Amino acid sequence: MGLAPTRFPVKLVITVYRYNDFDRQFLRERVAQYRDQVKRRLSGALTEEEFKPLRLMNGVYLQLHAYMMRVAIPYGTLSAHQMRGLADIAERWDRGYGHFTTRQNIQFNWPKLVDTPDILAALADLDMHAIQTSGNTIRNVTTDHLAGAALDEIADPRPYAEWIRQWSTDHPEFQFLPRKFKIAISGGVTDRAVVRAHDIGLRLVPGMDGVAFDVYVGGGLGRTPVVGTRLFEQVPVSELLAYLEAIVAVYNLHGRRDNKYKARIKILLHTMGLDNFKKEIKSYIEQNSDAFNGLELADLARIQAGFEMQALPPREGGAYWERINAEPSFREWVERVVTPHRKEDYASVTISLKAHGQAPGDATAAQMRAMADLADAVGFSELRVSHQQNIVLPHVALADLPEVFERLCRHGLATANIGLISDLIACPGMDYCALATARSIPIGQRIATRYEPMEQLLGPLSIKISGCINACGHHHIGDIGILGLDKAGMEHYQVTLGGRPGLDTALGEKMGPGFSEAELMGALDRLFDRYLTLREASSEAFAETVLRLGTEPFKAALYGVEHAA
Amino acid sequence: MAKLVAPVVITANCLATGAVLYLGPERRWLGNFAGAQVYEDLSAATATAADVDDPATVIGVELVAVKISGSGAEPRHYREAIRACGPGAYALPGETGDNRVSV
Repeated sequence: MGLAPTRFPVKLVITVYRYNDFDRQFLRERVAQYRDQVKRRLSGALTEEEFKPLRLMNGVYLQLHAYMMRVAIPYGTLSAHQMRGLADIAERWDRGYGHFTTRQNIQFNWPKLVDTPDILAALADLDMHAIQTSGNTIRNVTTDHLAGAALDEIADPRPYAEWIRQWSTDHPEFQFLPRKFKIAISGGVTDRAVVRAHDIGLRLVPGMDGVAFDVYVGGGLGRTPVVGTRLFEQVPVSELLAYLEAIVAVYNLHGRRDNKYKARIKILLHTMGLDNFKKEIKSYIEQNSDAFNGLELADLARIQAGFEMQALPPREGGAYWERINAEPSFREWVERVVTPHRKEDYASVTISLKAHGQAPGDATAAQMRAMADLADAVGFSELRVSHQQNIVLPHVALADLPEVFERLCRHGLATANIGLISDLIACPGMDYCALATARSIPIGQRIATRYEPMEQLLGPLSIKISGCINACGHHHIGDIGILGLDKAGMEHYQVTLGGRPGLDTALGEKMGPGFSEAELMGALDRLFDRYLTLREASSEAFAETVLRLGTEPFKAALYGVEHAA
Repeated sequence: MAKLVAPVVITANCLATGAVLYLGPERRWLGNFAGAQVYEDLSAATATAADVDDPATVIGVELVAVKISGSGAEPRHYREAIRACGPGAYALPGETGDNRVSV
């Protein structure tokens, strides 16, 4: 009954979760409610103060230039049909493009309020919605973009992510938490979901029932970055929801509501202390043991059965092997974007949404359709959104890679830069976001174009840019983090070095005073010169050199100080 | 946030569309900064802003500090300059630089 680990035979994968009649009816009713709320707002029956929480519950923000709708892509998985539908929405109600985010969602930057009920209705027809993409609720559960395909996977985390999504959606107690609440779940030995930078991070590990969960609590970036602490080990699948419910309930009860900068669970954990917090959790679970009586496991079984199962037929490499040896551009693309698959005649392909000079994470409607068509043709109709703001085809036969390359080239999607400096993350920043204190997209674009000629020389390097202290660009965990701030009415950019994601998450070290946009490029020039001088071999990545030598020589380079080494 | 000083213009977003609006002559909302009425008197601007704050049509009415140069008024702070001009991102492949809508 639902406890089998979601590790399938190598030739089988699960693709997307199929909504049932209940799910569809729920969405239809929600759209009808929202349509009436918009109507009442436009008629004046609702004030903005009354209406704002209602639109936010449906993912509708008012940004700098326009409304913005954030659409949930649960655990970053979507079908080709859904991607095509998002393209239609972008063309019909927006400006012909969408922005894929670091929470594996998509944002439309230009919808009109009057159109938002129709957009939600169109999303519902796609089995999609924008519920809990805003507000002080449990947000979209994120996971490994290589789930189900990764060589090192312990179990596919997505059925558990869907279980958590269904538990947390419209949860009656958790709609008005002290602050937003983010959960990530990782199923690989390598953490590709940045679990320790989340309010709750779950890591699948071998255990009872085949798998169990290590539970990390109190991570988060933002104004006060904290690396999550492993509070519970080997939590059985059968107890997972009880633990989650207890953690969120204790946070809901004790979390601060008087100061939004001190309202996240990481602050509560610090204030209460780990032992007291754990005691509260255990006590809550004991007192509410009746609430989790096994029915939730029947739900998990239903959810596991609700995912479409796909057999990966054996394929000969054929044209792939001929092409890889004969065509350097194809080989270079393969080396950069292709990840080995647990089935040896298959691979995962990362489609870069970071063409040099492009806004990171943006895709046009035409590009979305091209990716959907490709997924239908060679990718079992499934796509993933990665938190690095790229799109992934998780299961592609090696034999089909030449066709994938050719088709992506035709649509400007074959940039071979995954893991290089131009594969950077940038939040929307002040070009769009009402909270931002500086622009981030143009900084990313300048960096990508400026260093394009030397990005192979620089090797693996992650730059993450946030346009404000809220850190949507994850700047704390970049090899190089850039934080845009307003300093006396001028945009300034503060640099951090040495951050990294993964189970050994490290927060970048702030280097010193910020730079103007013009100064920043010069500072980065000096930083990269210093790296190229100090690295022991071309195989030593920037992060490794910083780890070996510490940040001091690089700080000196940033500020133009001569270094004796 | 720096203390607001005159001269100022009055801005808001359109409730129905979200579009950025500026209050022009004769208290008409306009879609471009160039047509905005400049107020030299902060008190008069504040009173006007309160008068035109119709919750059924606009949202977030506020004053924005501007400076006057040879080419007319322009926002003092870069945030408002970005808001007035639109996203400064590069154009899409195949689009002209005049059609900057990010991507």
